[in-house]
Amino acid sequence: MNSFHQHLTQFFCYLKQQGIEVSTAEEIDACQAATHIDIIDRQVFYYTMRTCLAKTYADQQIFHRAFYEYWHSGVVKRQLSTANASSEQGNDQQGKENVPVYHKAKNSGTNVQAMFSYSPLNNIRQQYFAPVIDQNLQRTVKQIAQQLASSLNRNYKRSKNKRFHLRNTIYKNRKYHPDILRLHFCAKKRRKLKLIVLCDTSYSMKNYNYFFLQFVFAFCKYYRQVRSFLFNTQLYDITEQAQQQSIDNVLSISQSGTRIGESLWSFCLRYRHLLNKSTYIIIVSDGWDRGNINAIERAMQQLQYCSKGVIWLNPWSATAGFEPSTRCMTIAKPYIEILSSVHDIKSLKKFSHLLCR
Amino acid sequence: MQEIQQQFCEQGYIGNPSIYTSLFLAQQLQKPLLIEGPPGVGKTEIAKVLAKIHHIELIRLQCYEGLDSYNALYDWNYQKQLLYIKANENTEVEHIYGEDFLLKRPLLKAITSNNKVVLLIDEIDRADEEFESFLLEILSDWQISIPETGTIAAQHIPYTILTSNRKRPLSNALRRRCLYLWIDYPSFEKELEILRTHVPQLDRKLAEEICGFVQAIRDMELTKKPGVAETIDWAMSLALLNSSHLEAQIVDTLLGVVFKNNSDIEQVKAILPNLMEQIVEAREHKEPLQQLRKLVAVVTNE
Repeated sequence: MNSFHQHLTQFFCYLKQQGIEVSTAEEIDACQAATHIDIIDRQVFYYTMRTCLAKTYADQQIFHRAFYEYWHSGVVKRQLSTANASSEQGNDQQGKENVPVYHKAKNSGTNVQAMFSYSPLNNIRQQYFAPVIDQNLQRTVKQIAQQLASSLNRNYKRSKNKRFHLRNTIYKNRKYHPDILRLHFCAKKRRKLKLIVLCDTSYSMKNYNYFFLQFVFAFCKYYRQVRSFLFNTQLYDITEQAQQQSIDNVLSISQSGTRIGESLWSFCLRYRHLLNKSTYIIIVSDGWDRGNINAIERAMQQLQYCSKGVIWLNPWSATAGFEPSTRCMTIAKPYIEILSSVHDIKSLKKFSHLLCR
Repeated sequence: MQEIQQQFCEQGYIGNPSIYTSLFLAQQLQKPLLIEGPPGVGKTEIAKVLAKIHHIELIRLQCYEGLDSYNALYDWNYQKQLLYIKANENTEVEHIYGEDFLLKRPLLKAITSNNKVVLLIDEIDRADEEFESFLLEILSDWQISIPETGTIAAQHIPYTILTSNRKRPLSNALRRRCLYLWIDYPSFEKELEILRTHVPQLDRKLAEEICGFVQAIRDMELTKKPGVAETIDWAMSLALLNSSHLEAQIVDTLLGVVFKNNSDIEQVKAILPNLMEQIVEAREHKEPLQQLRKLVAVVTNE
């Protein structure tokens, strides 16, 4: 029995724990079905397992939750091992049954060594992104927005009574007013920084999205120069919703499967007019992609050429030992100015400093 | 799987990846596929399209209360047997329980067919529990036991589709022998695509308005919510009447095409002026019609 079959067997156990009656015949069916499909394709794998294992509408609802808890969350392994250990010791764990798995993970405080996810590197599901307290968030975001709005350019502009500009005074007087001395003053130009946020809403990003959209929505409240988009297999403009602060409506736009290249390219075609040299493009994605790789390169090239810079926020980049080694990230890497992660208020502040540079 | 999707699209069936995956697995694993979902979402159509794609015969068993093995499986041709006995009165009569005297009903016909067929067991939830138990042998071993002759095994395992509207819960034994697929009402975009495929002469704006209207209505608590079939019927009717957009008068006249229950019609009539107002507003301001759903929810809550 290879490790995949071990995972499958443990997944069946997990389903039984969640209340789905899975018979041995169905387990065999599921294992056989897995040999006929491309298990790398998450969507197909999900539908295959659901077809074979969840035999009622109610079971399918449970299955949906259990599947994502198991295959995308390493904490389930600990939950199972804890359950096994406690059953051996005869401890009563019934009181903890209703606690969500991520809370169990947080409370138990042990580290998960191996992941049940598609990739052992899929550590992002291990993290629980706690919602930020609204008051703190609003205060911090307001500060950052003010900081961004008042950030100054390197170039100078003419301005009365700001700062005496010796070079301009000499140059202009020599050229235009050799007889009368006119003093020249200047001030630094304000930066008119625009931000375009493109957020990946595939299921692999589900946990992170809510967390990140909090920042985006709070930011839209104080800083008008933000356009927000979501993408999975297609592109959605959510600027209006962001300004109306309706985060729950936006979160319903999530589905399995991501076509980063196609989505970015469609952005380039439809919203080219938004791009100029004072616009930063912020792409929020884990880089898991099932689309056309040529489209990624073409879109990234275009975005880099037309904007001030491309910033890629990858939630994984906060984890130790992270390397942008997915297919999409490898192609996009040469065009990325900053590769970072925003996972708490501290990192948000750090990120805003990068923008104000 | 993409091939299946392409073939289904060519036949005018617009599905989703979950449907194609289930069909692919049913074919690969040679297992029956149990399809559940609200009426009118295209469960039966899957079997019809499957038969068309493979250019094979569709054998349909329509279930009903009181359906027994004589109507579903086989029966003996008693008249023929009597005539045979009468004709051979003087000699010893043999083989009156042979294949010559067997009347093949849908299930036996599907099992003994020389070619692969699609077997559609439609609305299994209408049949009695006894019949459901009777199906177990066929669905697991693909064989039928006839007491007089013995066991007949399938020459070719048929593509088997079972459909159910969940009138009554099916047994776990039956569910375990099948792969399971739940088909829900389609999304706005998907329904629009279906309408455009089935009623190509329909104006796009009108199609959008129809879909917006139907999607909104499905959120109401109706006795029988309109399925995709009703949406297509309604669209066809509007196309025949050369309508370019939804108008209160036409909608009111054609409510019977969409709603099949008087109480539902009354309920919809009550919110119709408000809903039509929203549609007109959406048309004038070019707003997305998906938002009608929320508006109707507000209206019905009030």
